[in-house]
Amino acid sequence: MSFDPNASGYDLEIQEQELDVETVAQLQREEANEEALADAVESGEIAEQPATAGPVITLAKRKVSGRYRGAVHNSQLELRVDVDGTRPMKRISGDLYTISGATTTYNGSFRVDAPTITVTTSEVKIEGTGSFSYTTAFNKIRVTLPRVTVLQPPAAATVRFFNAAGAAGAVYNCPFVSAFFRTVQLEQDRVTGTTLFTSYNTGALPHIGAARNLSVVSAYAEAGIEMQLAGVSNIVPPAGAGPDLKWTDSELHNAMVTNFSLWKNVPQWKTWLFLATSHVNGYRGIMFDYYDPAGNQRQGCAVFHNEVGGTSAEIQRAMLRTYVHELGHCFNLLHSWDKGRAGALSWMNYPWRYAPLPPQPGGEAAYWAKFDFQFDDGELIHLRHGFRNAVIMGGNNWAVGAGDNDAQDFAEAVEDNSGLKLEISARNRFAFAEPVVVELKLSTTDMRGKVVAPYLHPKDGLVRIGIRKPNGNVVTFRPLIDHCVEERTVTLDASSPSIVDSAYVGFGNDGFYFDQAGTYQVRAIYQAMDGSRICSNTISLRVAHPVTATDESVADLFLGEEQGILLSLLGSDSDFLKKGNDAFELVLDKYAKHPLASYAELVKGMDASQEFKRITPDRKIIVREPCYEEATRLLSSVADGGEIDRVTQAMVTYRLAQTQEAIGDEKAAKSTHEKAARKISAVRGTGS
Amino acid sequence: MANDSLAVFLSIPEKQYAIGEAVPVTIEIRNLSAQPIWFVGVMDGSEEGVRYPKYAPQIVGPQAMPPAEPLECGLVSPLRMKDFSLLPPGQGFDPTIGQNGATYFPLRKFTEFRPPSAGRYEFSLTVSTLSQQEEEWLGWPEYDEKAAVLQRLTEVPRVQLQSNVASIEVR
Repeated sequence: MSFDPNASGYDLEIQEQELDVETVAQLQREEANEEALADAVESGEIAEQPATAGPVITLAKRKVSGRYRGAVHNSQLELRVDVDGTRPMKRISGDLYTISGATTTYNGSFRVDAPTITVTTSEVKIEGTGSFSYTTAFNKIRVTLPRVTVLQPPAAATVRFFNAAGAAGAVYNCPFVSAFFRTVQLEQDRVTGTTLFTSYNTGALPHIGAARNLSVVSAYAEAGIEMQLAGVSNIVPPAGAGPDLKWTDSELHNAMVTNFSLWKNVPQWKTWLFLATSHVNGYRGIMFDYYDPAGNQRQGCAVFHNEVGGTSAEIQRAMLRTYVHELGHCFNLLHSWDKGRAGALSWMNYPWRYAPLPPQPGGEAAYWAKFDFQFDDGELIHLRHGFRNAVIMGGNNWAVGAGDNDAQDFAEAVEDNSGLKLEISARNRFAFAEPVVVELKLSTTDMRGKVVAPYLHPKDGLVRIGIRKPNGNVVTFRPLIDHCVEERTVTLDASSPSIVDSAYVGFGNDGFYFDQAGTYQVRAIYQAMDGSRICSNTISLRVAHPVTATDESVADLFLGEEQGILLSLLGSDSDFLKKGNDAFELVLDKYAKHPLASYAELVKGMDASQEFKRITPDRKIIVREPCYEEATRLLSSVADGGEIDRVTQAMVTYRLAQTQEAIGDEKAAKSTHEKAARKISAVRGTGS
Repeated sequence: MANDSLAVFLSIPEKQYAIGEAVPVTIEIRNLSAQPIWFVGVMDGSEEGVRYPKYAPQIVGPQAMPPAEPLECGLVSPLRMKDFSLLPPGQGFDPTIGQNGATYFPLRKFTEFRPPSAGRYEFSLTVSTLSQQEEEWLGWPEYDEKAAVLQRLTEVPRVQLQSNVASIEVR
């Protein structure tokens, strides 16, 4: 079962009552009985009976809902139990982390949407089949919680995983952490001369529900989310908005990076609210951190004092709504109508846009008359139980839901004390169908020296490449061929601080990865010898639309599966790849001046520079000898070309030197060798 | 009111209204051409002029009108394929009422207007699709339907339409 936090279908009516777990379990049984009864009545098996209410037993027991955490070996589970208390969503969910060496890395999440809840006087048992953000056979989960009185400390939860056959998997003992499902640090900054909202008494104007003082913190607390005021609260001079004193989205982003003392370009449970003066478009508020494809989005929002400020009860009420609403976007909550819930009485709806089903009245007056200052159920489920990267600030891009199997390859190391640094780089713009090659560089940050396995190409198995596509889906690059590498190590130290490699990641086992125009994000993870996962920076690259008819024709010639294989293998004579080779021949014949022709020269030149053995059906080996002169002609062009990445150019230059040597041009070979050495030194950053 | 292919019409059912009474304004955008036309109704932010298509309602009365309400939130909804309406030749649609899943918005200036005093009031509407860049229509920079939406946008006529003036007397 997959979960879309923005899908329609959740109940729009909100339960106000605080429930204990017996009541929830009782209601669940009653619902099941009612459904069975209705089925029986409908089928005519029994006559309709008047409904009777069962007794509800109230015990002075501690509620079991909240957050728990435990670890087994290097795996840590953060569990959320949501079966009693205020507006229980009758779910359990969890996030799993790997503690590896000095790093803690997010692995994935799960959620049980319709568990069976069994309550005895001594125990609460919650079990069901989970939906996971990753593949696992052990997808059945049972959580047991001893029942204790309110005078006793909260008991630990025991979490057991099972497979379909009932075989037991991992067992976690998870002590209680908090009554809140998630905890977020909130930093609030403001422009000089503005005053941050503090609280509003919901009884100040007629409304439904109990009157209470609500702040941003307490509004989120009612949703089960702990907002901790944190960081340094800055007063920002208005000059950041430029001479017009009105803020653009990019000025707001810049203000965030400058003033948000907790900011990092990584996913983290930290968010920034900025009280500014005015937006250039006159908004009341905006979650402005939604457009930067290279950044980790949803980390900050702004509210505009000139539009929302004031002291009347109406204005204070609207101000509270705007603050909570904009922060809701940082949690990846969409507007109500974008989820098909225009009739939701939610922070995420507009009062004037409130549109319940007829004949109920809509509009602003109806909204405020019925709104009890809450999120709707679908939003609560997202806030409390959404897969971690779909919720955490800086996780998935704005509006991108959870559930990608490969999303963990975009997971950051929560802590990294490994002494190593992995960098990934590439051009920031590629032509449509152009082979995407990334450069990888592993460096030591500990000049006492770090021993590493010197294999950075993904085919060697130590580096994984995550690719976030323009539509937000994350996939892992899977090389066509996995190599088994020898157990070799090198020491990175002050004299030799880094190793480099490049990898063509445009085509792999899943086909073409950059097959649509748009902006992609790419990240790498290196598995170090002590188990640490070294996460690289994230790069953003844009694949442009084809501009001319020639671009389209060349793109067609590159976007074949055989061409992808040939690019991965850097050439082959195989009969099974004849169409691909023919396509590259056509590129060289007809479009030799096109920038992408360099890649055809690369493939053909590398293939020509080496022998190729083929086995005939009668098991004879036929060797095609290297064609050095052809290779020299083709590779000379590539070695000096501007399109190919630097590492590949260096590799091609070395190969060119070898071919020159093979045909007896020792002077040229020597010169080319020196050129290759300079190129690779430049990539390593070690000078000549 | 019209260019060669499209026109926008306003109509109000009664000639007279009372002070404080809602004035129901009906809007129709009609295809005057012999070819079907793709068009887009009022989107989140269209009325405030922060995205295309722009729908600018005007009300002129005996007194100055109060300033327009600010847009609540700058994260305006994405333009999706379902938000395109196909107008057969000679047919029209109400751009504030989404059909087949389109998420159209009411024009708040019209729906929330209550005449504050007696006199003559004139209602009109300007519709513009004259964007400089197609990204000005999208709402969000990236989403799954973006490529298809950009393609469909090439089929939307680039026009500025001025409606007729619909007037009422308030007593």
